[in-house]
Amino acid sequence: MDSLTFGAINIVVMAVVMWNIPLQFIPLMIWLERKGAAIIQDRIGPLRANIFGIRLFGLLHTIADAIKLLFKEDIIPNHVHRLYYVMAPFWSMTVALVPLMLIPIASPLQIGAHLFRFQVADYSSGLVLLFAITGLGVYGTFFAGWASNNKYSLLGSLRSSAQMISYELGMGLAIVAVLMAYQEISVSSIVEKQSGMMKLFHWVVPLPNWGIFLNPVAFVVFLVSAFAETNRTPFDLVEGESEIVAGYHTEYSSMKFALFFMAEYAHMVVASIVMATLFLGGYQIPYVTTEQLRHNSHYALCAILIIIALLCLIAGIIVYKRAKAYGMSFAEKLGKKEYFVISYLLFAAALMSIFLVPLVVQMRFAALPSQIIVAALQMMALFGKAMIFLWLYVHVRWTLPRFRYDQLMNLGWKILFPVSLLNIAITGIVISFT
Amino acid sequence: MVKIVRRPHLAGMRKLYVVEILGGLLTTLAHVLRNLFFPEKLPTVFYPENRKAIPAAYRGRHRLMKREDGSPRCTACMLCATSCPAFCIHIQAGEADDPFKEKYPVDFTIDLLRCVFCGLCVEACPLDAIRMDVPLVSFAGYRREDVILTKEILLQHENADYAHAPGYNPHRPLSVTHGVHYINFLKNIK
Amino acid sequence: MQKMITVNINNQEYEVQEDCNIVEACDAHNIPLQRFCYHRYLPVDGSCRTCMVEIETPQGMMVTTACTTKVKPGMAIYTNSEKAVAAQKSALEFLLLDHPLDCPICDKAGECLLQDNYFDFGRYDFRRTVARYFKGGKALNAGEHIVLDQERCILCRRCIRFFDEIVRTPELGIISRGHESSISLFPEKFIRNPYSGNSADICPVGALTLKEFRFKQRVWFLKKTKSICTQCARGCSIYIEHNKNTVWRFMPRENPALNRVWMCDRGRFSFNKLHEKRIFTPLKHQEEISFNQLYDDIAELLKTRRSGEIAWVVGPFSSNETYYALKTYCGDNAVCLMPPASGERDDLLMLAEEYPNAQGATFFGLQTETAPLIDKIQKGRIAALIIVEMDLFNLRNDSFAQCLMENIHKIPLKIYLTAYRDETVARVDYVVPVRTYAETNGTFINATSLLQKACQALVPEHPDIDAACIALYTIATGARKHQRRYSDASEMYDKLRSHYDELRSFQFNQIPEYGIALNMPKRADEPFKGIHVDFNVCSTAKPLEES
Repeated sequence: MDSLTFGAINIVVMAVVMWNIPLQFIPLMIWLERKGAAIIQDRIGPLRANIFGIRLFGLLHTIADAIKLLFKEDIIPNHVHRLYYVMAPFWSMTVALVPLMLIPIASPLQIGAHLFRFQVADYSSGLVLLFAITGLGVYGTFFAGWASNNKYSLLGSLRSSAQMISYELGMGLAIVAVLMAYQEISVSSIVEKQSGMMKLFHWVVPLPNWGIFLNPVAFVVFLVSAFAETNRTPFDLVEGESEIVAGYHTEYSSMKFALFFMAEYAHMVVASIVMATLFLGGYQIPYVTTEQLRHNSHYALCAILIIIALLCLIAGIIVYKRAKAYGMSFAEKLGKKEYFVISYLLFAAALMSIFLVPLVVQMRFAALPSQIIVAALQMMALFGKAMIFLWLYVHVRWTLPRFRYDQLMNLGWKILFPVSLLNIAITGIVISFT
Repeated sequence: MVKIVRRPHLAGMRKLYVVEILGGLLTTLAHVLRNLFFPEKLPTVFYPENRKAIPAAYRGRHRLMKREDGSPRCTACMLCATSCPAFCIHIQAGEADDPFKEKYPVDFTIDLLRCVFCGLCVEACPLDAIRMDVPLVSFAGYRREDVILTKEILLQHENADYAHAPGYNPHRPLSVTHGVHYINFLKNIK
Repeated sequence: MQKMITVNINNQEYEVQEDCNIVEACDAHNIPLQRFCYHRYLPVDGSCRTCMVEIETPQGMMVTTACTTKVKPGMAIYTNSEKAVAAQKSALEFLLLDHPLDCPICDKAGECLLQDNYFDFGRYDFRRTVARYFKGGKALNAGEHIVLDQERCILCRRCIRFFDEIVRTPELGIISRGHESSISLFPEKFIRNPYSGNSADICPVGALTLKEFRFKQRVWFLKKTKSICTQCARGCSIYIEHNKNTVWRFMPRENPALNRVWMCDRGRFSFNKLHEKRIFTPLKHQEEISFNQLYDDIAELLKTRRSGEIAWVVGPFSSNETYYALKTYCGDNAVCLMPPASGERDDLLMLAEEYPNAQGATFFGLQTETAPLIDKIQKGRIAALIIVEMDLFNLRNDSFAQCLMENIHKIPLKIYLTAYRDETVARVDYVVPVRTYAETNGTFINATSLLQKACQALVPEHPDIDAACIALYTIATGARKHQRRYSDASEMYDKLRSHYDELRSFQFNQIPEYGIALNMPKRADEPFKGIHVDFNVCSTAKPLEES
C-alpha cells in the first residue's frame, strides 16, 4: 500500500468518525440538557417514554422527539423566500459539522511505514481555517431570519449577526494571544506543544503546559465568546422566546426546525472540543508525554480500567438510589426491575474492571497495541475535557438569566475587546523576555 | 406613594459580575449534587400512579347536594345562574308536587367549557345546594358533551373516578368546605 | 290646573298640588317613603301602617300614615325623624314576622315591595323568640290564571280593593282575626273575572302569582320594552318583558290617559301567540325558497303588470307605517278590510274590535269600500292580489272574503305577507315572511285616537325577514336590497310624519310615552266609562316605576 492510498483511507475513515462525533453527541446533549435542567430545578425530568416498560432514564425521549419531528408536517409558509428558507437549516448544520475535521483526537499511530492520523486534515494554518469556517455560522441564522419574512425572525437574526460579529472580534484576539504563546498555527502542533510541564522564565512550574495556564485571560475571553457564538444562555437573545417568539426559527417546523436545534448542539460540541484542544491540552494527559505513555502502555490500560470502574461505580450508586427512591411505582412490565438490574450491572462492571487491574499490570504490549491503548486513553481524555465544557454550557444555561441587549454589546465591545488587546500586549512582553 | 428603587451602583470588578456568577453556579451545583445522590429528597409525586390527598377546601368541579329523600336540594332559584360571570349555568324550573317544596329544577346544566371556576355560584346558593368540591383534578373530554354537566351527573356523588379519592366524603359537613365563619354566620341568621 | 301649595317636608320647602296625600307629595319630589297598601289607582286603605310620617299639628307632633293624610298649606312633615323611622321599622318588622323566607322560590323576588323596602328601611337584626305562625295554604289554585299563597300575604288588601272597586266582582276577602287573619277566596268563589291578572301585578309580595308566568323566568333577567297591546282596538300601553329572544309576559305600562295600570287577561296572556305558528322562510307554492329568489321572482312577475291590475288588501292589524307604504307606493287598488267586531266588550278596557289599528287605516285615508274591487275580481281584471298581514281566508262572514273564495281561480298571482302560518298561507302562490309587531318598530292608533309607538323587543329569527312596511315597499318598487331607502320601520315613520301636522314635531324616538292624542273622530268611548279609577292621581305625579 502506497502512502497516498493510506492517506486517502485515513482521511475517509476519520471524516466519517469526525462527522459522527457531534451527531452522536447531539441526542446525548439534549438528554443532558433536559435532565440537567430538571436536576438543577429539583425535578425528576423526562422519564415516561418507554419501550416494553424500559425507560433508560429518559434517553428514549430523544428518540421519541426525533420520530415526532420526522413525521410532522413540513410546512413552508407562502410568504417566505423559498431558496434561502430551505437552505438556512442545512447551512447551519453543515457549518457546525465541518470545523471538527481539523481537530486531532489522539496522537498519530505508526502502522508500518505509514502514519495514521486521528485527524482529517492536518492543515498547516488549521486554526485560521477553523475560525474562518465557524464565522460562516452566522449566515445560517441570518438566512433563516431574512427568508422567513417575519419581523420577529428578522429581529432575531439581526441580533444574532450583531452579536456574533461583535464576539468574534474578542474571540479572534484571544486566539491571537494563544497563538503567540504557542508560536504555532497548526492545530496538531498546538496540541503537541501542550504536552509535558509548563516552563516560565526557565523555571519549571508544577502545572501541565496547557493554554489555560499559559494564558488564562485569553481562556476566559474565549469561553465567554464561545457562549455568545453558540447563542447559548446568557447570550440567547437570538431566540429570546419572551421577546421575539422564537427568533429566527419561528417559521420553521418539522425536521427543518430540528436541524436548527441540532446545529445549536453540534456548535456546542465543536466549541467544547476546540476549547479543550486549545486550552486544556487537547488529547494530552497531564504531566506525561505520549512517549512515556507508549512505553508503559499496561499502566495506561490500568488507568482506563480504573476510570471505567469509577464511572460505573458512581453511575451505579446514582441509579440504585433512584431505584430505591422512586419505588418504581410508575413502572410497568419490565420497568419494575429495570433500574435495579441496571445498577447491579454497573456495579458488576466496576468490580470486573477492578479485578482486571492486577492482571493487566503484569502484561506487556507490542508497539501497535500499546499505541492503540494510548490513543484510546487520549480520546477519553479529550472527550472528558470536552464534557466539562458541555456540562458548563448546561449548568450556565439553568443558572444565569439572559443579558439585555445593551449589556451584551457593552460586554463585547467595552470589556472583552480591550481586555484581549491588553492581553496581546502583555503576552508579547512576556514572550519577548523569555 | 411612589417608591423609587435606585439601580445599585456597581464599580470595578463587581461590574463584571464574576463573583455573582460563580456564586450562582455554586448554588445550582449544590442542587445538582444533592439531587443526584439523594433523589429521595425531591418533592415530585408520580401523579397518575401516586396521588396526594386533595385538601377539603379544594375548589373543583360542581355537584348538586341532595335532601334526605334523594331529591336535589336545589329549588331553581337561579341565584347561581344570576351570579355566574360566565353565564354557564342553565336551569329550567318546574312545579313540584309538594306545595312546600313548590319549585325544583327540571333541568340543571353547567357548561364547564364556559365555567371560570370562580365559585360565585357556591357563594350565592342560599340552600347549600351546589358545591364545588369534587376531588377531580382533571376532567377533560374528547367531545363537548363530555364536559357539559347534566343534572344526573351533578347529582352523582359516588362516581367511580373519585369515590375512593383519599380524604373524600360526599356527605362532609358544610364547615369543611365553607369554614367555621360561614357556619357561625348561618347559625346567626337562623 | 290644580292649585299648588307649599309644604315643608324634612325641613325643606316643596311645591305640591293641593288635596293630594303625603305619599304622592313625597313621590313627586323623590323623597323615599315606603308603602304596601297604598296604590295610586286604588282607594286609600291605610292597612299596612308602613308609610308612617311625623307631622306637626296644633296638638303637637303626631305620627300618622302618609297615605291617609292630605297635605295642607304650610304643613310640616318629617319622613326621617326618629319617631317616624321607628314606626316605619316596627311596622315593617311585623310584616316580615310571619312572612316565609322563600324568596328563592317566589316569583315576585326581584320586584317584591317587601324585599325592596326591607333593603331600604328594614332592620337587619332578628328578634323573634317565639315560633313562627304558619298560615298554611301554599300554592292554592285560586283562579283561572291565579295561584294564591296565603302564607306570603301581608294583608295589604290591594287585590281585594281592586276586585271590589274596579272590576266589581268581589272574590277575595280577609278571614279570621289578629295574627291569624289571612286572605281567602269567598266560599264557592273562583277568580274568573277578565282582569284577574292585574291582582298579581299589584300584589306587593308573592301571594298572588300568575300560572302562565310561574317559575318561567326570574324577573331580573327580563328586559322591558315599551310597546302596546294589539288584542283589541283599545291598544293599552304595555311592557313586553323578554329574555333570550322570547317573550315571557306582558305587563301593563302606566298610561294615565288610557289604561292607567291595568290590562285585561285577553291581552295579557296573548304573548304566546308571538311565538306560535311562526313562518320564517319564504314559500313558493308551499315550497321553501330563499329571500333573494322570492324578491326576484315577485319583481319579475309584477314588472309586466299595470298598477291597475294589482290589488292590495290589508287588514286593521298592521302598523301605520304599513298603511303609509300602501298609500304611497302601492297605487289606488289598496283596500282596508274591516272584519266584524265580534269580541267581548265591557266598560273598563275591552273592546269588541279585536284588531289594533282600524283608526290608522282611517287616518291614512285607505279605502274601506270593497265593492269596486269585488267587481273587478269577478270580471277577472285583477292579475295579482297582495294580502298584507290578514288571515283573509279565515274571515267567514265577510262579503269580500266570500267573493274571493268563489273567484280565487280568476286571480293568477296571490302574494301573502305574514308572520304566522295561518289558513291563507296554504292558498296563495308566494308567502313573504314578515316580522311581528314585537320584532319591529311601529306606531298604532287606538280607538280613542291615541297614537302610540311599539318598540322592537325581539330579534327576528332570520336577518332577512323585514317589517311588513319595508317588504311592501320592496315589492311595490321592485327595489333590490342595497337600493332600499329604509333599513328600519322607524325610518318609514320619520318619513311619514312630515306629511301630518300633528306628527311633524315628533321623531320616532321622541314620541311621548303616553302617546299623541290625534284630532280625529273616535271609534269608541273613553276607558273606564262611569267608573272612578283615578283615586290618588295628582298633576305632579311621576310614572309609577320611577318612584
